[in-house]
Amino acid sequence: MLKASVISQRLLKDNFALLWLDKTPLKKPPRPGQFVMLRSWSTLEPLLARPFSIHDLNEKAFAVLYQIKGRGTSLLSQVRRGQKLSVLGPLGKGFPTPPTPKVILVAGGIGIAPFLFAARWLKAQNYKIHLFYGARSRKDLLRLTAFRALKIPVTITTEDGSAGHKGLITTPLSQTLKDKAVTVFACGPLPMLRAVARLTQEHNTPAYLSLESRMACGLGLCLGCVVETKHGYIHVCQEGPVIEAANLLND
Amino acid sequence: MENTSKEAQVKLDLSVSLGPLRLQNPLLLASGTWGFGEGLSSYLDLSILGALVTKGISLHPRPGNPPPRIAETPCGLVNAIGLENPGLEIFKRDIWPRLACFKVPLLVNVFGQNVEEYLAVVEGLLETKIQGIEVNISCPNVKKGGLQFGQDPKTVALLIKDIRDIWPRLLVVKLSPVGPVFEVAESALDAGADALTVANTYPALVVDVIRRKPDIAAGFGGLSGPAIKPLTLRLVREIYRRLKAPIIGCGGITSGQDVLAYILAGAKAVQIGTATLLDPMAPARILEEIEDLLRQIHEYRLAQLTGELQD
Repeated sequence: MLKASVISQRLLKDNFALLWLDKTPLKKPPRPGQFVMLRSWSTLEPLLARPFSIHDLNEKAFAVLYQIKGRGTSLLSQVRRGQKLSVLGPLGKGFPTPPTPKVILVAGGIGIAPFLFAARWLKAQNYKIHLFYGARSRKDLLRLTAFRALKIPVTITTEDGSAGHKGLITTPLSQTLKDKAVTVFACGPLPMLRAVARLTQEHNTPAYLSLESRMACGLGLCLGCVVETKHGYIHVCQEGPVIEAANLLND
Repeated sequence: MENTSKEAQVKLDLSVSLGPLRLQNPLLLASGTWGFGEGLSSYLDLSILGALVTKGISLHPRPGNPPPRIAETPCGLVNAIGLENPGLEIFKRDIWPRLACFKVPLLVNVFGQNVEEYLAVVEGLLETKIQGIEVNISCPNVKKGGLQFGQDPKTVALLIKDIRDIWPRLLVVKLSPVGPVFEVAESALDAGADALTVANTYPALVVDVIRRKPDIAAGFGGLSGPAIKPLTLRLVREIYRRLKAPIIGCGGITSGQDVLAYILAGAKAVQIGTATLLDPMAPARILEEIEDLLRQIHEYRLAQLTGELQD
């Protein structure tokens, strides 16, 4: 892996963090939806590096946005400005160039991670963007200020009703799909992705989903990260993480 | 230390012989840990290695196991990939020509569900210019009710003898680390194997207590990584002592120190697997570490160190 300097790390809300890293070690300019493998510890425990989608990008640096959940992310959350960590990327297939002038971003929980980068990239190409953002509760909503600074309309739902509409994000999404020719990019938990795939297929909307999977290498070496699709198993690290919604298996 | 610069000029000889092959160094990439080179070659120059051992190839394509296929454990990784591979024909047509470009000896790992399938794969490989095969005997034998080939010394003897009859190039047998390991090792050698890979992953179980289910869809998996290194080192030592067999050590190597430990225990060469998954650049680093260590201990021919553990 290559070494990247930490530019900043900021803890967000209860258990999330935003980490900015020097982008020099990235092998090529990343595309939204692509990911990096990160490792901030030099010991063999935890054994594996961890995958993170690229959250934001500027001339000098890239950011990852993550939930502090297990041993890897809690070690990662301890690194500070000036420290170095190991990085590999950008990896995998990102989001494609949308075929329609309007794009709907659908985020569920920490599935918001790839979308700030995606929003900047789409804006630079003059796409119209609308963010649909569903979370458990108000305290799980992240980076809203950054999205609003891009002047992107944001529709919010929370499962407990503490912000936005109470309910699931697919409810307002289905209303919007009825009357507009749009492309959907979605990232979030699998049940949400399945619902988005169903809705977009009903409306013949082009849609692309970013999948998650347990991953060891991130490079197609171990074949460990498969997800079953209509065309058999795909390796999320190489043939994903972004796939066409039509390929997702119905449950 | 004062003559470091002088010593640095002495040319190290890392080469090792394996059956009819002479390898430039003892570092091989283990089966199933480097794809078919696509992703890895942008991070690692494969031509610096001693040899490559491919993902297991079967007569027919196999889709592999459902997910989850992997689980992380303390200093280890449990996997049940399920021998996913494109099958012999696609390997010969699309993959082998591409791998030949890497300019490094290639061993194809082969397996089958019965003796006939093994032989069909080996026969098909005769039409390629691969340098050798590694026979995976940790594979359920359909005709013997799913018992692994590798658990029965007599079956192994018959299988390897049949393969030896048609395969004149390098023939390596990859042992399971459990079961009658020494009897199987002896059978494989008596039947004509040129070398033994010691060893495959250890059968293992990871439990998801909330769901009350195995944490890998297939149920059991195979444990690899630094956690298994002392266990496999001991196997290498015992097999070397008992059989003086040519051994390729394989289990948990992540450093040059680990490589030398295996060589001293009795290995002629080693395979790196999980370490490459952790960091695709690890094999290059490990090679450098081997060179540094040899200079440090004033040994300039690596091959002289095989089995030199003082016990």
